[in-house]
Amino acid sequence: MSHHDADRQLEEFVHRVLRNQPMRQAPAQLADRVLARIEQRTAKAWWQAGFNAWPMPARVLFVTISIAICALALEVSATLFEVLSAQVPLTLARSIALWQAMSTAVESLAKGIPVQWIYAVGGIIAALYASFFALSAAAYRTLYQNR
Amino acid sequence: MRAHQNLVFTTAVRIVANDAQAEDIAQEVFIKAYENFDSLRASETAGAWLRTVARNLSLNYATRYRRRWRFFSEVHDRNEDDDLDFEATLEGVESPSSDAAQFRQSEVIEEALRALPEKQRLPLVLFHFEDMSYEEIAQHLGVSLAKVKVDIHRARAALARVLARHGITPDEVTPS
Repeated sequence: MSHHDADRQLEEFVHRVLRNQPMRQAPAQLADRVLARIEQRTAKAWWQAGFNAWPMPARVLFVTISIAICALALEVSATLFEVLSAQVPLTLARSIALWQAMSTAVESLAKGIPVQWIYAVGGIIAALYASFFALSAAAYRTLYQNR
Repeated sequence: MRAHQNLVFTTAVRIVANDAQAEDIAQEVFIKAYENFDSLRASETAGAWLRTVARNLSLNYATRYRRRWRFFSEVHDRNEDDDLDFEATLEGVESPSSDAAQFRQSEVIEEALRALPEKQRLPLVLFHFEDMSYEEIAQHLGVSLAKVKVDIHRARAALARVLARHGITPDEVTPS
């Protein structure tokens, strides 16, 4: 018998065995679970269901109102920006000055750190990340996969 | 619903190999059927529709789960070990030798299927129970055609070895 014929016979044998298998019995509580879930869903108000289940007029109204709110928000923010940019408040000016001072401080500090240190810290972070990943994989294989 | 619940549950449980998850999937299938009740009520192919939905939902679940854990569970090739593990898990299953032989035979086969490594069991089930082609299986599972063929072949060989040990041989199985 050729290798191909043997494979073919094996395939047919397994196919017959599997297709002769009876169906599994569904759990007794399945029907009750489904009915309870359907009752739960029908008891909800229409607006508590997903957007696709809303009535068409409600969907159209919702989309229209959403567009109107977006347009209004854009209009109001543009107006506010115009008004505020005309006279920059004192607090904003102070915040910008503080930010600039902090940036300068961080920049001068960063210049003082040797580049080898930065590489070392990067390497340590990468090693810790890899260790954590390996530990997770080992824990999964030990505790979960073999159950 | 009661007329089709075994079909839906069986389809799901064969793909996901977990009773609790299969029950959740079956529930979801019947809720989808409820949402499409108007079109299904008069349909003569409601059973086929339910089966297709059950298959697709189960496959979604199985492939999503597979992707999530692929790194952890399939880093190394466990083909040889898998076959040994698979046969070791079945050593406690008795051979059919009484009036309940048919029932026991089904149990042996179910147990043998469950004991197969996931990467072999799923393509085997899709090929033999769901009538999917090698190409469709490869596409759904996101693996190469060659791998699907090899996995299915290994699964068949492993199953046949266990079945032979329990006295189930090609001569004893009548064509369906």
